[in-house]
Amino acid sequence: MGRPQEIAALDRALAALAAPAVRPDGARVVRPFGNRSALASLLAALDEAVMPQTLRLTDARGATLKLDLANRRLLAVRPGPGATITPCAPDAADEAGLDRLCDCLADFAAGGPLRIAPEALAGTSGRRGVAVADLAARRGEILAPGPVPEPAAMLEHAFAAHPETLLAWLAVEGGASDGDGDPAALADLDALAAALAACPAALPEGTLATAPRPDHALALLYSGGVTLGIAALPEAGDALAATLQQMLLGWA
Amino acid sequence: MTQGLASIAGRPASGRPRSGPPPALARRLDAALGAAPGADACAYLDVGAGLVLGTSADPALPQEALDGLCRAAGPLLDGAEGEAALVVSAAGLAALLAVPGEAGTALCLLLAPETPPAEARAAARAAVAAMLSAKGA
Repeated sequence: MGRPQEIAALDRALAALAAPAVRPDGARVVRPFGNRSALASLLAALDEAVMPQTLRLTDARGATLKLDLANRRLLAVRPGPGATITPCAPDAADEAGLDRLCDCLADFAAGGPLRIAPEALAGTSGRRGVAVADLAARRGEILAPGPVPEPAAMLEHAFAAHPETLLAWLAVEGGASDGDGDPAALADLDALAAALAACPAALPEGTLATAPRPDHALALLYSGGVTLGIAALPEAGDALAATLQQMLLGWA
Repeated sequence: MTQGLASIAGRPASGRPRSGPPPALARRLDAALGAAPGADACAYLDVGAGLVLGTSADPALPQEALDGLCRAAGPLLDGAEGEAALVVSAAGLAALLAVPGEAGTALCLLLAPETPPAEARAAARAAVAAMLSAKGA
């Protein structure tokens, strides 16, 4: 069995194949995340396209691109309103053409966040075009998330990223707990961890939960068999949550 | 292992018929979802009773996912005044926010797992405001 992130990506891809999106326009938002670049984010989304289809990309200014994809290969790129790219049909043997294509996609991705919406299911693939993974490799971009750090590494990373705003930490493993920091914040963390532990299966392994409190922003991370809690100043809650979110999803 | 995916993901469950919420609640949930950019679905929770009172999306969300969020919502929102709590897994992000004036209830907004926390919490506030506005409509 693969990592949770890989399973989730497959799950999203399969859901996209099996059923229409819940949102009326079927669009999803793609943007940089953690240490993943805008181009890698775009290519990772395109790499999920197995069935022959046309996707419409819209950047933050409203410029659009239409991409024909199949079998995780990019078959054609066509400009829409506002886009300046030249239409092309990528050829895996045309090194210079692929470099230009990567430049164009990177420029477009930099104008994100991008909305990607399915426009049509059509055509066949064969082995035409270029594999999206090859485009990523050409630019040294990683499409899959990395491993989730161990809880101790997460704690260290969080304190390194937010040295001035974290107040306390708590770790609970197998009924034993350890922690340090501001007593009031630690008490808040302890109470939250105990209350959630009393809710069977509410927050399983591989989950991050944040809880706002008047005096502290609390975060609990269930990973590696450990419940890791961190308290921060209220105004630092979102930044702490973003750091933990990136680690949990493998992009830190 | 991957239990977290199914229970927190909020992924639609295919082929499982379920009756929808009453029309008035459905209208309020549609308003909430419409006000929350990027959200895939939302649900109205009775946190005290641990009940899901209604969901916006069709197809419906897995009941076990919402049950877990219902149970977690109480401790997460305890003492939070107008601020949303978040639950994130590899497959989804849930923003939970108490509904003012409707004691013991919360709105649960489901978004992509990589949604920035500040954006998710803002979306939850906008959704709850829209839900309250739709109540009087």
